[in-house]
Amino acid sequence: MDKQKNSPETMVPVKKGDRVRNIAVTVVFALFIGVFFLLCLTHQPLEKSESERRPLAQFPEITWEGILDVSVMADFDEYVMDQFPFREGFRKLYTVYQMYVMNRKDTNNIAMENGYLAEIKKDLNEKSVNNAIEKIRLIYEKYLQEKANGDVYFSIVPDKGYFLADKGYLSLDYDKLVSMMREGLTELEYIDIFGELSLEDYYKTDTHWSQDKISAVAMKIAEAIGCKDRLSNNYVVNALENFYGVYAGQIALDVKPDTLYYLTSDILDACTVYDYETGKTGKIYDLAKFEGTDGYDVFLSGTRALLRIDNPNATTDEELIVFRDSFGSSLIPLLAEGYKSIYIVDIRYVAPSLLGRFKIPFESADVLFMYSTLILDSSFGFKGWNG
Amino acid sequence: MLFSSISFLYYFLPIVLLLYFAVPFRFKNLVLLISSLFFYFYGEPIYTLLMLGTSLSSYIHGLLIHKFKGTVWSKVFLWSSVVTSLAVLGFFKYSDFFIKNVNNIFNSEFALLGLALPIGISFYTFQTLSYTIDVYRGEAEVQKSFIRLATYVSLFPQLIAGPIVRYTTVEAELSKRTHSFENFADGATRFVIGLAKKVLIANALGDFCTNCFRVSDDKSIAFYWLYAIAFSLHIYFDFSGYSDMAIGLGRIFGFRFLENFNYPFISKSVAEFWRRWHMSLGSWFRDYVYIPLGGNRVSKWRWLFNTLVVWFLTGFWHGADWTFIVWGLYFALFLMLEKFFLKKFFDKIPRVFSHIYVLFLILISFVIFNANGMSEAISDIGGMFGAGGLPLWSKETGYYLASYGLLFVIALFGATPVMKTVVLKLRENEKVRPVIHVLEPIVCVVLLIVITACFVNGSFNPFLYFRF
Repeated sequence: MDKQKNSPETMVPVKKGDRVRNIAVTVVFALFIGVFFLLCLTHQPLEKSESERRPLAQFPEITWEGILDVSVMADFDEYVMDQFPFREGFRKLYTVYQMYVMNRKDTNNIAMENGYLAEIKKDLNEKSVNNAIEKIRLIYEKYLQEKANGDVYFSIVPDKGYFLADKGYLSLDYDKLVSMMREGLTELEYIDIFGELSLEDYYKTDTHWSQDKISAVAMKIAEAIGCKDRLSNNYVVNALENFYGVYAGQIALDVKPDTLYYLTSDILDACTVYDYETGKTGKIYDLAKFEGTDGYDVFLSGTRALLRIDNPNATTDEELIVFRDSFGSSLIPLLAEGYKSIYIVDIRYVAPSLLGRFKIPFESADVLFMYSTLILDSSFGFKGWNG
Repeated sequence: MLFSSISFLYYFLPIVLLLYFAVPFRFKNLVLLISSLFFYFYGEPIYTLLMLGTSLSSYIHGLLIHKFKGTVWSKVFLWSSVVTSLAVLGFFKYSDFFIKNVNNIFNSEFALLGLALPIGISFYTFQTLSYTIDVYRGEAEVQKSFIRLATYVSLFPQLIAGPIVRYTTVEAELSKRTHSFENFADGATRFVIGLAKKVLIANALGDFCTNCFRVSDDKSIAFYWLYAIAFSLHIYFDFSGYSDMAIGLGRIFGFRFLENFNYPFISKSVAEFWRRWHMSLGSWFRDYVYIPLGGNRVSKWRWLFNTLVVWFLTGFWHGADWTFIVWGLYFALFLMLEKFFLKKFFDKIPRVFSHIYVLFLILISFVIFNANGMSEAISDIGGMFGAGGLPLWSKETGYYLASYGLLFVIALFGATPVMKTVVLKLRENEKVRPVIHVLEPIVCVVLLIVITACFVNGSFNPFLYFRF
């Protein structure tokens, strides 16, 4: 407090107990904001948030233009939020406060049910679904319409929200989504896999399904596309401990990690994966990726634009083309035994027009479009014909 | 800059407090002025000049009104001051409203100006008006120091969201004020409570209104009512939270701003509601518009006219849109009905019915207030009564009620004076008083930690009253 001599300020006499309270509140408040002020000043900025898998805002470049249009101030506000000391601890506290104090059913749109974390999405983005239909139709019309055999299929992978709907959570209108897809893709044969799955088939902390739980899905698809007889469905289950999925970071709670399972067999071990983008050949499982940002990238090395699995032990010359998202990364290996080659396309990373440059056997191969409801509900990442 | 931000709480405020309490008293106003200008500049770089210009205009007008006191020129300069201030407010806030209406009426195509509304312009314009009018009336001494007057106009605790601090309220404190541990402690506690009301309650209710109700495709009658309750509580906690923060910060710096809210939801009449809601605005219109028009000591028809003018202006002050005008006149209507009919009726029946009547009117009023145009207002009110064959209940209604139920309970409880009464009673008890003294700083720290967690999460944080 300012105690200048000859100051016009006056001190009001107060009771002894009140004076102690006044000093205590003053000191505690001043110390609290003062200490955090110093911590903010001395905090070493981090480049990225591991838990949220995103780069963190950095101190803004200060320019006159930026000051006058307030972008410097906006960037500074973002910077101080992103670089706040003990940020992860405060994020965790926020979730605890929301979920356990305020009894919120979800926080930041992530809900937790029996340890399963899932994103709560409630309003189906019909524009997005129509966009997906349009993009798939475009590929169909350009590459597949003239196919000698009409073996073109599509399947939809439900996200975890589908299974939480019965537990009182809000969810997308899955019936409508499926109905829209079926009506928009009448030339394609629909393979319904919803009934083959349950919440327990997914990782608790991640969006994806667990490969050891989707044999039934693989067999259902294989039966529909006609390769079931070529699959032995005989695998060794391997485990990678301490898999923290994408929701683990987003929820910011101390959740138990999952175990990531991957299935191997002599046939899968012998398969090679050719990456058209890098020109490199690898294996189906890239175990080194487990230590990276997303452990699920073990499957087919994560997000890749165009891959080809070659099976040297194939008993057939049949080939398969799969247009897929990340759910396909763990499912497609389970179909590898049934084909000589599987071409794997992710149209979020490669423009469909470019596919004509590669020797992809559109005329003769079986074709499967397989997308998750999460992607169909936000499909604007699909590239247009020319990108 | 927002009070409810890391930039304010952990950068701006510590630096300002350090500087303020480090310098001798004669420099304290200067520190407040510079920090207030920086505070405003942070959000409105260009309009800082406008605010300074408004301060300068008031300063010069005040000097001239004082210099020519007793002559006709004093009145001329008063009107000059009023017209200048209102012209600036009108230009920046209402130009597009008038252009749109002219275009609608005359089918013309005048281009809209598209000006950004200077933050807090409605608040500081009314403050400067109060200064020059009070100097003219002889109720305030002319301020000969520009720094002091500019400090008053730009004082950051109340600059952007009120309360509307009259010059006479802080006139003496601008030159002499008390700094004490008591002021600091009371101010800090009040600030933290206000921040908690804003961040922990108002923002969460705002989230319910914006991200749950407004975007829902699964509305029901019950959902509309929940929305009406949520928004009414939201705006109360938002605005009263900001007022608490302003009053608290003012207290830390030795100013005693008047209260702006007094548990308005416990009112038994609309008239009482407006004596408890945004009191600084209500008293401003009373003293500078209603009473000069003759107040209630006039004929019945003149009183009706006076009431309509005041409530038209009250609505219009809140925003340049017909919804705000309708909102203001809606209250005028019920004030008239109360005066002539309803008060006598409610005096004869149990008080609970007058409470229900007021709460019902308030809910409807805030549905109008928050609507994006009159058609949405009508649609929302219709929704509350099942228009369009809405179901009574829906899955989303149940989900969000379960998810936000505790928040509603806390907010409803917090909107009554029960907690305050209990704490004051306990403080009177000499045995419990020390316990409260120990708990107070602990509660403050716990609240600050949770608030910080909300900041870090980057939660929903816009402040409604900026647009006024």
